[in-house]
Amino acid sequence: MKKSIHELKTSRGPEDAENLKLLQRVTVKDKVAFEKLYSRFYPQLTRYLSRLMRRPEMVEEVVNDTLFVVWEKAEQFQGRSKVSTWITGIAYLKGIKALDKLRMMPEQQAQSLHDAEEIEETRNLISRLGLQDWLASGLDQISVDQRSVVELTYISGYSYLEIADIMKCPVNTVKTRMFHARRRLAKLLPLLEEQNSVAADVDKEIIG
Amino acid sequence: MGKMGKMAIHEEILELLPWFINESLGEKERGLVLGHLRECLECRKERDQIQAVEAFVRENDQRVPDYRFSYNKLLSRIDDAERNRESTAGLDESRRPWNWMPLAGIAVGLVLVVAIVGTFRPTVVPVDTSGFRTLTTQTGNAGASRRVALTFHQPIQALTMRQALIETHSNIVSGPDETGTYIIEVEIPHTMTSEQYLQAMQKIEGVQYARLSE
Repeated sequence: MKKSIHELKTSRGPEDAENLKLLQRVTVKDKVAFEKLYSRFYPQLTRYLSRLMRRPEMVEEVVNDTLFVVWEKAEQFQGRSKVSTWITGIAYLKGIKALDKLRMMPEQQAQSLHDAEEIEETRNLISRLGLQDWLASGLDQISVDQRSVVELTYISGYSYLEIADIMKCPVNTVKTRMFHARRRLAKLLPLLEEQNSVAADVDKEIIG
Repeated sequence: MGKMGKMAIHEEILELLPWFINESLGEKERGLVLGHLRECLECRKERDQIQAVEAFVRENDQRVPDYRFSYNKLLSRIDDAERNRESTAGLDESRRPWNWMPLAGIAVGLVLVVAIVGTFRPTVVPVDTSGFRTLTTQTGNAGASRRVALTFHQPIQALTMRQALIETHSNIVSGPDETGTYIIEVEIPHTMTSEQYLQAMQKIEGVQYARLSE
């Protein structure tokens, strides 16, 4: 029999326990609890969606779409995962839907690039943008789903099981997406190091 | 262990490395990765490369603005959604008795009036009515009659304004004043409080503000 959210307890650590308490209060439309939950998730969802979507102007709206669902449907949380996994899963779906609306199809864009073109393009990008923007341009060259896995692993620290839950896909798909993302990002890394050493040489000459 | 078996483990470890680095692997898998790293140079190189990418991702983590501005936007959206739900429920309730019964009453009444006047008036003066339009008149069975100050968004098309008046079954008493506000007379149904009725009015297209008039 399905448990009500008010009967749920978690053994997934103090952070999840606190999130669950807040979510339980949100089901009875407690706006103080909702603000606290919002302030907890706003930074991580903003970062995640910024990298996932690469459309800064849409991020705030999608973050709010996500947390609006949390406000409206909090009682539907069934405790099968951490609260943060559930909320990030909603954010992922909202982000993908928003991108679909724009008909961006980044998956196809990313896969259509040939390696040689990619390297040349990257070389140009690094020289044009500088190191600060390298990461952004590097992440632009992998697909949305690959970016999602990279972000959820490196920044949010999720396990592959949790990522599979968030992205509603098999565990092996998560591993494969990470594998391809790593391969593409690794190609960019030597170029970055090269750029770094050139920059260091220039610095030495200037200070010199 | 055979060569194939070792190769399979090597492939598996290569896949697991990102989650070894973010420390989310279970004890068993973590032990497996650690053991393999000790003897595999390729995996150690791969680990270093992943750590470099991870460090870049983290170092370039963007600054996130204060949450309050976005939160307030969401709060307004939540309030709007709640008001919409209330007004939709309110209008549904109120429309049921209003839709046909009063109109039928008005129609019957008008027919009777025309018949009586037609019978007793000796001559009929023809009137050109093409420039006039009669607004819906409320019958008395709907509830208390109240005067409401109604402000429309400016500029407003005549058609939108007329539709708003028809939807609210109201008649203009006076106006507009210098702020574009009209005083109208409405029958507030028994099923709604004045506040609910005003909230519902404010949801009608073209209406900017509605309040009870003195």
